[in-house]
Amino acid sequence: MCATATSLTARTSLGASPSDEDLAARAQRGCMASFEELLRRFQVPLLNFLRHAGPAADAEDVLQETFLRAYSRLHYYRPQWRFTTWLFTIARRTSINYHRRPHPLADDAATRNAVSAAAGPAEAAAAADDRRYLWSAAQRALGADEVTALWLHYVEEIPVGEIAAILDRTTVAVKTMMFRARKKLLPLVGALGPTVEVFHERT
Amino acid sequence: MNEHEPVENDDLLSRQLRREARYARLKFSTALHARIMAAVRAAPSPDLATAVRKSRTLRGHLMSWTAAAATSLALAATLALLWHTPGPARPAVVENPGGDRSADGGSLPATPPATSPESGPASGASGDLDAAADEVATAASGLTDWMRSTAGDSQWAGLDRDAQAALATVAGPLPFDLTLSIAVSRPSGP
Repeated sequence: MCATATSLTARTSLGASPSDEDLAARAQRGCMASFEELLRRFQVPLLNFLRHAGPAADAEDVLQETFLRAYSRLHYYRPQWRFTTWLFTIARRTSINYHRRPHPLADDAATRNAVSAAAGPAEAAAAADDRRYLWSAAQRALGADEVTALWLHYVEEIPVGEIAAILDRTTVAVKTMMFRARKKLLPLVGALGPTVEVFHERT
Repeated sequence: MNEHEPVENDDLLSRQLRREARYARLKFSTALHARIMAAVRAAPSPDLATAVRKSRTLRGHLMSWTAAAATSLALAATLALLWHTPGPARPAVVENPGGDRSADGGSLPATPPATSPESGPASGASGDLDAAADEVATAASGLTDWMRSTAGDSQWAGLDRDAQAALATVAGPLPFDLTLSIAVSRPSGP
């Protein structure tokens, strides 16, 4: 039976929420409210992930495309798969495809303002301090897959085996990649350390 | 230099990465949620329920076909075996393969004893018995080929692998060789 989006959200807040996999199974049967609840749950994690997996300005568009693609391919999803892994895999591939396609040059200032407005004052400050932000430094120093692996591991706390599935690599390759990424970033911790601390004291 | 320094640095790095990610984490945006839902609703409906049912029905059909083919094959093999095996005579031959065949009531003259059922055709096998065995072998081979080509040609989202697995499961235990060798090594017929 398909509950309304409001009742699903209410159940979530009461702690009696269905799992992501249950919601996906219901959405497969045509329950739009379940899909909406999945969107509600994954909007923030995916948007943050996409901001680090590619240009931040495109993250919202890529997010929309990710959910459109997930919706159109929902019948391929199997309940025995972890939904998080399935969705992040789609998000990563969508991001790669999106940035491969040629896009008309956007007005950089307008895009930056739009992102800042959506992010709120704290995020606007973060954008202004971009140069001192360790993740920005990571994006400059590391490859896209390395940043993605670090983000999924440290922020989303996804196990290495599932990161390997998302990146379409072996577990050993992901472990090696993360080891190298950490090695490259360690000197930056020292270099950015005091500045980053000041950066966080403002919060 | 402190030997624990790399570990501490690594820990510092992970803490810093987590903290910065938490700090820079975006808030939930109702506007973005509404925009994406509008786009999803406006997108051509994939008719999810039908698509899921269809994919599962397809898998079900494939499994049914395989099961039906396996049953027919097993039935044909059993019939062939029964056709060439006289009921009362069988235990005596099985228990005493080297014994006098004329005591079994068989109509054919005694032949040199078969050392085992798997040892190959008996020297006195008649032509029609060979033909029957050939027919069973041809039917089995044709059915196996058909099942394999059905499973191999299709690429229905990985269902071919399921069909291959089902084929292996079904074809493995079926005693084609045993059936043939028993049929050929038993010279007496109805």
